[in-house]
Amino acid sequence: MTSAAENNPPSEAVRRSHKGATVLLICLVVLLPLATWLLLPLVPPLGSLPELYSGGTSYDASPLTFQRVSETPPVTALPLITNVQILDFDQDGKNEILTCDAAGNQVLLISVEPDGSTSTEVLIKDVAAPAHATPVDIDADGDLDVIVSVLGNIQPDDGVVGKVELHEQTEDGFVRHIILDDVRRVADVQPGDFDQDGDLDLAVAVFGYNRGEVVWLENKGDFQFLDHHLYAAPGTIHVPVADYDGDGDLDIAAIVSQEEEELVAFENLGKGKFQARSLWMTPNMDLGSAGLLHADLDQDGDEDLILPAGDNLEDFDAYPQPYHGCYWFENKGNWDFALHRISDLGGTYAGAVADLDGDGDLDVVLASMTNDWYSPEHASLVWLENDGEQNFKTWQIDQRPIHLVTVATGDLNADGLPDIAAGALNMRKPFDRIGSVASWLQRPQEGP
Amino acid sequence: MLFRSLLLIFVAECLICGYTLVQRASRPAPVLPDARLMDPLFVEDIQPLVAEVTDQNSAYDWMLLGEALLGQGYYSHAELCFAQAAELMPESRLAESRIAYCQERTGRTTPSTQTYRELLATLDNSREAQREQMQTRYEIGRNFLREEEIEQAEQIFRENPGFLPARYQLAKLLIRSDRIEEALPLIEESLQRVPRSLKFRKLELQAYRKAGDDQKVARTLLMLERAKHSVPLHPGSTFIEPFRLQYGIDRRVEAFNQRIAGGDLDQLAEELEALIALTEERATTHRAIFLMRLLEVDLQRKRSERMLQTIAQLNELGIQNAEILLYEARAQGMQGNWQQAAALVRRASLMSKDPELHLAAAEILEQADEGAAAKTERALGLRLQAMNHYREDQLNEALELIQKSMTLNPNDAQTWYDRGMIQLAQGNQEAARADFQACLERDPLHGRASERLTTFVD
Repeated sequence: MTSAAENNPPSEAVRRSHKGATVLLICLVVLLPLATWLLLPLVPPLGSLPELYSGGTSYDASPLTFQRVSETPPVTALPLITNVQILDFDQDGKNEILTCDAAGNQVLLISVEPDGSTSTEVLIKDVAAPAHATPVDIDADGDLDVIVSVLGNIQPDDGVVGKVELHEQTEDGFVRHIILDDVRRVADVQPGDFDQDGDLDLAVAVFGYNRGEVVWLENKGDFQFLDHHLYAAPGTIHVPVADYDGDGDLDIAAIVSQEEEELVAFENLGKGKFQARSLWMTPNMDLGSAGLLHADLDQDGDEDLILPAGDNLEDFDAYPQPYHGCYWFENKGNWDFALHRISDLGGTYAGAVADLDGDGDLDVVLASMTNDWYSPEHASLVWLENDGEQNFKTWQIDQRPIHLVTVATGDLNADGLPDIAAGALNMRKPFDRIGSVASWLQRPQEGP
Repeated sequence: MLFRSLLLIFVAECLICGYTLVQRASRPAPVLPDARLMDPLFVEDIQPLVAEVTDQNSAYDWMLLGEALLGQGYYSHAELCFAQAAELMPESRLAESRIAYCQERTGRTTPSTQTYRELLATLDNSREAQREQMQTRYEIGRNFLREEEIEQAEQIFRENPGFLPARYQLAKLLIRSDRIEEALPLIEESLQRVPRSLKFRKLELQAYRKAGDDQKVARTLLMLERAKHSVPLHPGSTFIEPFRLQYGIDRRVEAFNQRIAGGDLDQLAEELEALIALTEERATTHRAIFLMRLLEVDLQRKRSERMLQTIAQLNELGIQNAEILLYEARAQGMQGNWQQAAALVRRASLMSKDPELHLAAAEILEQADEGAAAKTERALGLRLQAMNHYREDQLNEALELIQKSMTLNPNDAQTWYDRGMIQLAQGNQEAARADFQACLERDPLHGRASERLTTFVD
């Protein structure tokens, strides 16, 4: 038995259609590889690499409102601001920003008007890479003199290129006295009457590079000083002076930052004698201690130490590290300091202490030099809110300008609220969000 | 039958072509930093590489692109390139080593250590491999230090005694944990191998300080002044430098540096102007460097007007320093304004410890008929030259120059102190003592001279 289809041969139309399909198939068989070969270079890459790692840090936006005020530098300029401080330098009842400019090699005084405009006065010219300007009435004549810590070279340099210059304020301007010369790069000078003879002596951080030292200068009057060597170690950045042991005289603290990363104190034994005490050290040679300030952060009546850490300028291309941030050394008495890490801000370079939110406890402001700047959200300026028990919550204030290495707090517009000033050292890539000295004016909180 | 065969072929072709297209589409594109944040010349230079990896997806090209990015410090981006290279060529130790480095630089020390350990396991006993082993072990040790894992760090540094940086780290750990007796032989042995090593000399100082040996501390401090930084503590980073120089503005600078020896001054000026033009619309550290070089070329061409224009450009960038003031003084001098030139070099002199600058300043002051000031400047220049020789441990040259300086300005207390230091280094104790005393006669508040006399090292 056969089917009807087998019994009846396909019609002409069916045969023709079959033949057509065969021809089409032949064409497709020939053309498909050809088309694929032609198409292949046009196929876009749709695969993906693993997620890009970023070690940068960013935080919730600050509940306090700040308005950024800054002059925009020329498009090709790379300002090198090394230090800012807020104080009433000219004693006119209004605070200014005392600024060290290592590109122009000068010390500036910047005034911020209530409308946010600024004006700049050159106080001192021709100081080679000033790292710090210490305002102090050294001759007790009622005005502020300026002691400039002269690096001599902003770049890493182990040469004997530093000095300490005392600029005496007179009616006719500043008179320069070189009070320490032929030393390596000087990063900081702090005053204190160490020998308790009624005049101000000076503690000096000779940062150097591979070699450095801590020195104190005994005031012999008439702008003459006798230098005393205290300690040999490279990379001493700051030498904050306070009575750390509460015995009534002033001691010196120092942070050593090159290779050793050590916190050292020089206990004042009286009569110009000091005893070096190693308070803390870390085996992590890359911690990047970037400064040291003192404050009674827990308000228990003694002076604590605060260490911003995140300096990796020795790297050609610096990157934020997980151990960067801010460390609080709580003074427990008898030269015992307990370490607390209070922030993880990448590339932290500077800190300042103030009661920013007016709740009676001390908060901390931090600036970052080397956060991961290739992502725009990463913080350059933050504040750490103290809950009164020294638990700190980090709030992001801003992400520009970047490369900030110095920060200060104070009331810049005389509205009773603490403001912030910071300076940028534009030495490393990316050359973006370039700033010089910027201020953040705190705006009053709106009522409920 | 034919139709069915064709159909089968067609289906097979569809599968193969589809697979080929999917395969092709599945290749990744490189991840690059925001072009706005990169040197535009670097972006231009890596375009062929980017096109190549996008098109060919070959391990070799991914490595090249990774190294280009690494040279600019884009560690995370470079790591992705090396990871792709490693995926395409799993046996590539180089790619793995680069990944470990990128992880370490971006603070991921634990995965970095893991990758380094895996690399160690693959190394044979060849001479080259042994060198690589030492380097890799050292990098692992550094990672442990950064994690404050002291015991593990010490252990791996102990396994690496032939590698000087590892010996340094081990000795440092020993000193910190008060094992001075064990540290000192390690340090002394290393100093025999590298007698002027600054790093080992510093460790020696720390060891003696911990041991409370003031005499040896003082002696080591003196030697430290003439020590030299010769043991790199992060040798793992040195491979990056060539990558940096191959791309972007650094490539142009390198090319210029190679031509500078043979080129005539007009040609060099032309090339510098071309480089400056490349930095016209954006901020870069190179702009100031090019302008400074142009100043030097124009000084040699005696183009004072152009020098003053270039100085104005530098000042517009907010830059003023001793070198610029000296160039300005020279330009003014070319125009016969010697008094103005003298005022400028007096300012420059305040800001510099460069002996050449002071000697050049002396010449300008002489031209301005300020003979006494010129003499003081020359004496200072010679003293600074002498002390540079002293720090290089070239004591005879140092002594000769300081004598000349002293002849010109015998009243400078610091010159007497410096000569005392040179004499001390030469073993002339009594002469040194006399010089320190002479220094104090001229400046009774010279603390260092007093200290030398009270803690005199015999």
